Amino acid sequence: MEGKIETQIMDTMPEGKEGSSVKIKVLFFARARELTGLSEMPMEVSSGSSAHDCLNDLVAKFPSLEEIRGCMVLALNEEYTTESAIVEDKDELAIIPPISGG
Amino acid sequence: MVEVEELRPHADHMSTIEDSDSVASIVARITLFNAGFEEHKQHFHHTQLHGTVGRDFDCIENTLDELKHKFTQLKTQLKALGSESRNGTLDVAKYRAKDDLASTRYHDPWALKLEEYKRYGRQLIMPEVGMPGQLRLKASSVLIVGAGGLGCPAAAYLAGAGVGKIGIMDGDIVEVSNLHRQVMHNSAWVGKSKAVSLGNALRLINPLPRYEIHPYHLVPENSAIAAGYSMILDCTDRPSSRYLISDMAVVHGIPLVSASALRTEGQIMVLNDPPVSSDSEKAGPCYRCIFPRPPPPESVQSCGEGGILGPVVGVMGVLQALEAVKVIMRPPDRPANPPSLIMFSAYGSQMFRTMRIRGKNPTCSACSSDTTITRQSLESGSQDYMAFCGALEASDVLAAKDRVSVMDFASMINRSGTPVNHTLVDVREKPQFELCNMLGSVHVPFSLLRRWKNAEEATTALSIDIESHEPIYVVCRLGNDSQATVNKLRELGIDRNGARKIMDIKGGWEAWRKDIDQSWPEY
Repeated sequence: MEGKIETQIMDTMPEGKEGSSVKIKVLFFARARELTGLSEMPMEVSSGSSAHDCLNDLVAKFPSLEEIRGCMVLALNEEYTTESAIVEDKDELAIIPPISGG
Repeated sequence: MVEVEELRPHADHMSTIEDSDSVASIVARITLFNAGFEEHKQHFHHTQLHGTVGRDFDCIENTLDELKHKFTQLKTQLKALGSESRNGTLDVAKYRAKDDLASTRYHDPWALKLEEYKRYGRQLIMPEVGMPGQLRLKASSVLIVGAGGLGCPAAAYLAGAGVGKIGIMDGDIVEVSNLHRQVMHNSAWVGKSKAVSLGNALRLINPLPRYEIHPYHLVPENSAIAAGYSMILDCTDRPSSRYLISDMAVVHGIPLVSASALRTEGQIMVLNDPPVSSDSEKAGPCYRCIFPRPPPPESVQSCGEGGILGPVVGVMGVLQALEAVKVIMRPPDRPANPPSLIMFSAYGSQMFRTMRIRGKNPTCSACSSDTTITRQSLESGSQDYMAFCGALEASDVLAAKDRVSVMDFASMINRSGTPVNHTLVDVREKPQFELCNMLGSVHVPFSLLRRWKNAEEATTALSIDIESHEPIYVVCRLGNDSQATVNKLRELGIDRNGARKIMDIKGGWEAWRKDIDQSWPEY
C-alpha cells in the first residue's frame, strides 16, 4: 500500500520541490469506508498538494471511490473544506458521503 | 412482637381519614380502635402472666400508652373540627382554604398546570430548561416524518419532554423485522399503521401534548402539512425524501433536524436554523447546501438491504430529540450553534466526531434568493424528487433467455437438493450466506467478485474448469446482484462467447422461498 502511494507521489511531485512531502491521515466514512474497506489510512503526498490532488490519488488507488466523488463532503481537521484547500503535514482529511437510511 | 403487628389493621383504619369522612364515622372508628387496644392489652397481661413474652412487655405497654394518648388528642381535635363544619361533614380542603388565604392573592396564576409541574419537574429544575424552556416546548409543534428507527425514539423523548403538538407522518405498516429497532411498536401491532401505532404509544407516555397522526407517505403534493408546525424532524430512509423535507423546511421557514443511520454509522445535522425567512444573513444551511448532489442510486442502501444495528439508529433518534429540544428552548437572543455534522461510528476508534460544515451556499438551488423552489412549485408537484435522486436501472438487465425461473431451477436439483451437472454460485455477502444456503453451492460474495480482473481469478474462486460446458447458475437474495454477476463473468470470458451457459436465477432466494420452498427462511 505504502509503496504504491509513494510511486504516485513521484508522479505528482511539483517541480522544484523534490523530496519534500507531507504525511496526512485520510478518514473514510459510511459508503467510503465500505468501498475502500478501510476506516482510515495514512497517506503521503508532495507538499503543496490540495485536497483535490489527494482525492485523485485515492481514486487511483480505489477506483470504486469514483462512485461517490460527486456527493461527498470533505473535512480537513474536522472542518468543512473545499477541494482546493492545501493539505499540511499531520492533517486529517475526512471523506464523508451522505448516509440516507434510517 | 407479633402483638404489635396485630394492632396494625386498627391503626391503619385510623390513619386514613378522608376529607369526606363524617365526624361520626371517625369517632366510631376511634372507639373501635380503643376496643381493639383494650383487647390487646388484656392479651399482653395474659401472656406476661404465662411468661411467654417476658421483658418486652413493659416496652410494648409504653408504646401502646403513647398511641392511646395520641388518639385521645386526635379525637378531641376532630370533635372541635366537627362542631365547625356545616351539615356534619368535615371538609378539610375548605378548612385549609379559609377565607383569609383564598382572598389574599399571594402568587400569580401558575404558568403550568399542577400536573405539568410534577410531570416535567426533573427537567424544569435545570437551568437549561426552567419555566422559559418548558413554555417554549409547550408552544412548539414538531412534525416527525417517519415512524421508524429514528422516529420512534425521537418522538418518545419529545412527547415526554412536553412538546405542545407532535405530528407523526408515515404510510408504512409495522413489520416484524422492524421491531429490533423501532422500539415504540410492538408485536401485536404488526400489519397495522406505524403512524397510528407510534401515536398510541406516545399517548401512553404523555397524554398532554396534541397528537396529529398522518398515516400516509409524504409527497410534494401533501407537503403543505408543514404549515402547521414550527419544526420538522427528518426520520426517513431515502435521499428523495431528504431533499423534499429540506425544501419543505426552507419554504415554510422552519428549522429541520435531519438524521440518518445505516449498519453501524449515523449522521445528524441541524439545518435551516435559523430559517431563511428570519434573517438571510444569519440563516443556517439547508440539506442542499451541504449535499447539493444526491448520492448515485447504486451507492444507496436501505436498512433492509444493508442492515442496521438497532442501538445505532436509536442513538441517532435520541440525538435528534436532543437537538430538537435545544433549538426549541433556545432564547431568542441567543445565536444558533455553528452548523455541524455529528457523525457516529459504533465501531470507530472514536465513536463521535463533530465536523464543522459549511454555512449557507449563496448559490443554493433551494435556499438562495434566486431559488426556483417555492411553496407553490413544491405543492404543485412540479419538483420531481425521484428523478433528481435517480433510480437504479430496471433490474431486468439480462435478456429473458439468460435467466432461469425458480420453477425451472427446482427441476434441475436432485432430491437431496444438490446441484446436478451444473455450478450454482451464490453471490450474497458472507453473513447472509451463513444464514441459509443450498448444499453444494459455491459461495463468492458480490463485493469480492466485482473486483475480479481476469478469468483466472474467477475459475480459481469458483473451482471450475474454463473448458467445461457445465452451465453456471448465479443466485443472490433478490435477483439483482446475480444479473450483474452474469455480466461480469461474461466480461471475463468465462462463457467463451456463448459456448457455456451462464444464467441468473430470477428473483433470487426470495422468489425461491415464495414459489418453491416455504421452509426457506425469510429475513
